[in-house]
Amino acid sequence: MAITSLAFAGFVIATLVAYHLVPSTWKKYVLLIASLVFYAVFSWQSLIAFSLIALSNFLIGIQLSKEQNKTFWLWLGILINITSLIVFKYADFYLPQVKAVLENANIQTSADGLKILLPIGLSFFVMQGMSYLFDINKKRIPAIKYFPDFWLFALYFPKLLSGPMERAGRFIKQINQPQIVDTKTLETSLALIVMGTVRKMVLADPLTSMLPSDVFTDPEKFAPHLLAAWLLAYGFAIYNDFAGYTNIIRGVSGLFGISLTQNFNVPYFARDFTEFWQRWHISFSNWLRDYIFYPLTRVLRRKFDRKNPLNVILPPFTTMVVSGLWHGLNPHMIVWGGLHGLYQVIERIPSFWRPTIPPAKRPKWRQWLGGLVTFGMAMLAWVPFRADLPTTWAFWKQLTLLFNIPILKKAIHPRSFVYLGSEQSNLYRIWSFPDLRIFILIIPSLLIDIWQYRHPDINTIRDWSQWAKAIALAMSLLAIYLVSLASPQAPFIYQGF
Amino acid sequence: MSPSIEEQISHFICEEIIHQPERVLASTEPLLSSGLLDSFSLMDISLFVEDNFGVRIDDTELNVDTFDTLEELAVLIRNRMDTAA
Repeated sequence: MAITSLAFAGFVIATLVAYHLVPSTWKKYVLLIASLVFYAVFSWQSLIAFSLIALSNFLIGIQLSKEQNKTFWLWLGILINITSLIVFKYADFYLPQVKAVLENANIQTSADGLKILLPIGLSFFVMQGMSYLFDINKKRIPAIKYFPDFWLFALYFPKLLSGPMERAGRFIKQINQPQIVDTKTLETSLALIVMGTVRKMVLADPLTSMLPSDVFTDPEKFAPHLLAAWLLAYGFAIYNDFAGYTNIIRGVSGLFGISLTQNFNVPYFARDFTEFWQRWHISFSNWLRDYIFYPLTRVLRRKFDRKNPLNVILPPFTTMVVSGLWHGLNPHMIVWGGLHGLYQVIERIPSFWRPTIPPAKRPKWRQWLGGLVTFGMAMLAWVPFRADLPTTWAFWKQLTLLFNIPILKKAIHPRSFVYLGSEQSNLYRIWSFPDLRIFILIIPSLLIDIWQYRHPDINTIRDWSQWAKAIALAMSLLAIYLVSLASPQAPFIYQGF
Repeated sequence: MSPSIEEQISHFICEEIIHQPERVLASTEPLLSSGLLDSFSLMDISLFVEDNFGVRIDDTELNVDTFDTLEELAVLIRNRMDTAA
């Protein structure tokens, strides 16, 4: 059941009707039943797996709160969560080896067995479960004593597939004190849903569909300026895809009076990488900061001077490599995370002697330059996020031809055939211009971002005149309708994590 | 008269973190939401508070939801010192 499908809309409306008809003490049970049904539609086997992991986290949480054998229970909880991640998510990594070993022993088997059980959204589920156990262990929150509450926290359907990663304390408070959904909340929630659907269906899906199937597998076939344009398309596609998803589910959750964490805040307008990670996938970044970056920094700072290279390099680098591993147990994901770690380390170095100036107070030229450099480096890092390592290297190598002026001059020369040889010459001639539709779609994406940058609080939409709201809604619905006719709907990229 | 909590932390931030020793931070100046302090600096402040006031600020509290200004941080520290006393 895709989040942007009519089936999902019908499901939400049916749940809303039931939710608002029952007394307030029953509301959370309506949400629990809806969440179980929602996930069972994807896979009832996965629902059982999720529920068992949730039950173990619930029971371990209670044991942790009893203050006896805390270390044992905490490690058991970590072991269960990490094992489930390895068994299900990283199956592609080890199943072929298992299959080979079994076949060598003349035991015929299918490596697809575990794949059937791969639960969608497992990575988000596991991270959330572990933070729950860490927080009880540190006495930040009390253990939840009632399993249906915990079950709902773990499986709440709007956030189940791709987050945001909620903290238990904030969420449980909301389900036990249901808020009245007034017209203002309704208006904001619907605005989020419309904005998210536009981002996903009108911007992300068409941008994704413009990428040639082999751009991230055989980049050497293409001229560098085309690769740059497609990389730009991918960068805006993944952003609009995930930000669109988050907007939709925050809007849906708002209809039930439950506020979910904001996950994106115009990340491509960040002026450095510290700011980028405060704006991109915020709930995940905060998780990494609270449970990896800070504890590691605290330990290292107690042992070494703050300017010690270990203090400067290890915390951001380790945190970002873990982030890469969370996305996938692949060398290219480690490189993606490592690059972001490296960017932050490099950025950090001048702060040891140079006065710190907040991004917004820097001279305009520095803000623009910082923004462009951050954006460009983030784009380059998307290559290993999407492609394996040899292809990443080939992609980057091909991109460097952009700066090879002699080749570019030869490429546009009337006799380029002579200079470049027939194959490369054809490449430049046939594909002389990048797909202009990419830039046409990036403009509305940037316009939405500019509006969000100037109005960080979505509630300001209530101040619009009725006419402005009507026109924006009509244009959005028309665009969604036209795009839905033209291109098939793609699954959300982050649903794969 | 010994310097207040706000003055001590302001001095530490200006001297050690932002390298502007002549500057004095206003007690209501946004430190986190403005981007003046990042995650690295927040841990430095947390350790400074721990060492000088005997108060622990948990890792999950080192964010703008807990405090954004010197005034808010000082209130947090005073409350914890009172609770401990």
